[in-house]
Amino acid sequence: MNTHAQQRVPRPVPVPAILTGWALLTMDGVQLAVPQKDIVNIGLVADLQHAQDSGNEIGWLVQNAERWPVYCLDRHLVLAPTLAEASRVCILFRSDNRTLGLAGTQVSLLAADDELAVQRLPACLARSDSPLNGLALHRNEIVMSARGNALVDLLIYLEGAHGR
Amino acid sequence: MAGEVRSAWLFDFGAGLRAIVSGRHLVEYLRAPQVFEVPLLPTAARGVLIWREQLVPLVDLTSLTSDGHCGEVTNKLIGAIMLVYRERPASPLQYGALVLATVPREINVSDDLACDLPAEPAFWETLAASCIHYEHRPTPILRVGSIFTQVLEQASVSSVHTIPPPLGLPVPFALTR
Repeated sequence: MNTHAQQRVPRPVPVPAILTGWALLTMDGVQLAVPQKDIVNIGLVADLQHAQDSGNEIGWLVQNAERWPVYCLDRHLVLAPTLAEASRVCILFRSDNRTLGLAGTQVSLLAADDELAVQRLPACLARSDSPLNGLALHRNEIVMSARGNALVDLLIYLEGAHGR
Repeated sequence: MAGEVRSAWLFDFGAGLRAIVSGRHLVEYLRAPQVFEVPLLPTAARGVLIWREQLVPLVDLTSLTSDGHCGEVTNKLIGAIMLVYRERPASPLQYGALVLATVPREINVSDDLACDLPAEPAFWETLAASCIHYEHRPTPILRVGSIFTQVLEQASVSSVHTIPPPLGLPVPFALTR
């Protein structure tokens, strides 16, 4: 950990302890729905420690003695090299022993599962390397759903594909 | 003896690709519908349509041909045909849409016209229930459920998993102009 991280420790917004409901992350015009129970933490982009190595992360979320890389995806779910200007928040997800973050414009929390009627992704739209598993209409806009571990797997894949 | 003459619909997908669908699968023709992109789609999928407050997958069969090009059809989209099917006899109705280059045309078909499927493109073997000779060329009759219940990739489309045959669905056909 570098000295900058030791000087400034952000205080992420705590996630409610409930294990139901959805979190809607808006990024590059795309709305991504993730079960709240898959979220490790929610933080502010303003609190990110700047990326200082050659990775593709746009910053690091630091808490106590740990720090986690945060990435930015565009509407095609491809790594964005720089932080989108409108990005304000980031969500941390975990898969096995990796915890990674995803930045976005905003996060909305839907307290109940039935606030989002997610339909399973039709087979003709499914791809084995896609984290998406469902679609929903929310306030006349399309929402795509994914599990947190699938998003982490995608970020790990993209990280590797970009020659980290 | 002449076979029974039945009504069906001829689809022109563009790029010389045509197929026939039984009228019971047709729901509505949409001229230049708004297509919503979904990231990381298989080759043949173009996105989704919002139709009657439902999200409906949109498939472009021309993208499965050897000269198909991903991502171009959305801009060139002329129309889409909304189709209905069931995955299994007791399953609820499902909807899917196909990109069309022209408005579908009603035709008469009969068993007398039956012929072998064309060897190319190979995906007809996966997607067609049978084939008839129509307007001087073999024209596959689509098995509608097969289109939307499997991943259609250019390289893997010939790897088939068995899909039950489509069921008779008395759905009214409306041609929206």
